[in-house]
Amino acid sequence: MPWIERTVSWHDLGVEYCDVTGQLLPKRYWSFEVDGRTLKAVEPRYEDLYLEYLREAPAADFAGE
Amino acid sequence: MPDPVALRILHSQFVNICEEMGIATMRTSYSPIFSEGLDFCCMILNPAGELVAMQNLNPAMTGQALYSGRWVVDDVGVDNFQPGDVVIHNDPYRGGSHMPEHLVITPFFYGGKLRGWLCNIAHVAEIGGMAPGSFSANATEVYQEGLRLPPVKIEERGEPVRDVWRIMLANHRTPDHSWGDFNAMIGSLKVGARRLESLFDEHQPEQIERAIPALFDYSETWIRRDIAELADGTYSGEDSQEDDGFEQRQYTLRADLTIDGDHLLVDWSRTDPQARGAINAPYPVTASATYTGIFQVIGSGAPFNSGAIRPIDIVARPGTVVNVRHPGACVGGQTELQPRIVELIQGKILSQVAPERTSAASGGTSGNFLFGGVHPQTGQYYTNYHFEGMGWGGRAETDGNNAQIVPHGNCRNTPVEVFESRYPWTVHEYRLNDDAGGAGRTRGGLGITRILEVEADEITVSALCDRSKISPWGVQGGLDGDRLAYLVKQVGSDEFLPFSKAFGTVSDTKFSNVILRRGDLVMLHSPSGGGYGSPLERDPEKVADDVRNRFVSLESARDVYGVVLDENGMVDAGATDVRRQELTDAVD
Repeated sequence: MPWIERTVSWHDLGVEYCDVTGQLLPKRYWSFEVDGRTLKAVEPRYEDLYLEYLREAPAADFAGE
Repeated sequence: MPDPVALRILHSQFVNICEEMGIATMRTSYSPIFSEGLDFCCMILNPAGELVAMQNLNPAMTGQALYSGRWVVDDVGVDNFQPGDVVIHNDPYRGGSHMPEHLVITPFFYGGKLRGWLCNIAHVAEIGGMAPGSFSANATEVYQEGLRLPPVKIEERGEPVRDVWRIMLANHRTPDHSWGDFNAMIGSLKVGARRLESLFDEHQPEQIERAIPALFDYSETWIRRDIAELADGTYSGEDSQEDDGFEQRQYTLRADLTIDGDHLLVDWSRTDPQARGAINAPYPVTASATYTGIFQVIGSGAPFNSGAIRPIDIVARPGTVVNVRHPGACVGGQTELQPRIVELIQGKILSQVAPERTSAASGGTSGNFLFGGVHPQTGQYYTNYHFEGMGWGGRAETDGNNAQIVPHGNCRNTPVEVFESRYPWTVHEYRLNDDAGGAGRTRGGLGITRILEVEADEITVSALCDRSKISPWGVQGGLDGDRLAYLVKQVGSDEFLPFSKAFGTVSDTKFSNVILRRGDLVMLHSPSGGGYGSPLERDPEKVADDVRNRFVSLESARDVYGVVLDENGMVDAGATDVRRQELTDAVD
């Protein structure tokens, strides 16, 4: 999956969070799909972190909340 | 890889620049929290916003140092920075820690090219909001905590952006101090830029730009090696904040730390949902505390930069007390939740794999006491953010420190002389608490008691602290330390009372805007550290020394440490052996 460039209007002060770590999501983020869901992450290595750890830790799965 | 010695020298040169920026801040600021408390941190980032070096001053700001500058550059857009621009920012929902801490950041250009960023993060003592000192324990939304600034330019091409300055100063209760303190921060950036320019002159930019990634790799390798020496596995622990100022219920932090080879993951997902009150933390605060807890155990001597954290991942679920969602209040996360996180990581979790490198709990609160009003001698409005010293936890080989500011902050206390000359209080008492440190093979450090008298017709006070119900815990058989108590004795009363009894506040430790009158007394009794190891293993000579110093009472020496002293205060070895056996038998 690709890097995605987010366009944010200057008057939009809302933020989004990384679906894996909870960090702020930068304007350019990494997108990947798991089990039919599209997740947003700060960088590609968090896709591996999700697959290797968080997928098996239900409490940590806050993607899309 | 370049020569490691050359890398270390370059790293030290970067750190020295940050230190000099800090000295400039300290010497030119207006507020005691800068000049005495040193509640700030200076740093250098590379063009991508990654941390190259920071001042060895304030671990509480580590998370901001690592993330906030990068996020601000992303938010503003690198192409929107010109030489001489300074951007200011304090938004906890856009990378800040809590609203009083402001980041100023300026680009560093050399030879017409962006080479990095210089930053200063500092706790500004008063930024408006519902309580003087901008530290309201009763805030439920960030909007009540002061003026929130997304990243905006405060200087453009070296000239002040007057409209932004005027909005800021109009919303602060003590604008003269804000003016001085912000200019101290901006001045430090200019000092840093001059020094960095000299460094680039000395080494040539291409050399430095090759060395920085090598420095990151050097630190990463060091940390991976240290992690790999720890036993693989998942280790868990929890600790709690005793209330949030609104409800008498605890908020529990739960961490699962997984060591897998040379990688370390800290998962906070099982932590309680965010509180209504102001004890929540944004991600950078949780990151600061988590890294500080880890680096108290591993990585000693490694250059700290963005490379050092590559082997460590932190997961903090949004909407919990460790990653507050907008618009939750969060001023207390930096000062109260952060020490709890640091000590949970090192004292309860990493102690399971490396007990010899960890400690018992410290007092674990910044003891925030805020006040403001019109000074009777000057007619001027004043405010102050006062943090209090306390005892640190006992460690494997040494006792906890006495009367020091919370370990994650490294800040200094404000001398009584400065305090009394600036504010209408008289300090009647300032002493170590007797017999308060958690007993152990190494003893918990002692908290302090300070008694203040109001010397104005009225002073508005607030507090945001913790550890009045949950004691600082001992480890490895050590006992708990003494708890915090902030009390008040009003004129006409003959006893000190908790603020809940005297003024009907929900919490004894988290309240805002209580009005005190001339002659009222406040007692700040700070917590003491927990003990490490069994008190029956403490060297009897050290116990005798503690008794001579009045750190430990004769009764505690006999009944807790099992040490019997003769009439001259010397250890009675035979009686001590008997007493220790009695105490051992009683436990068995």
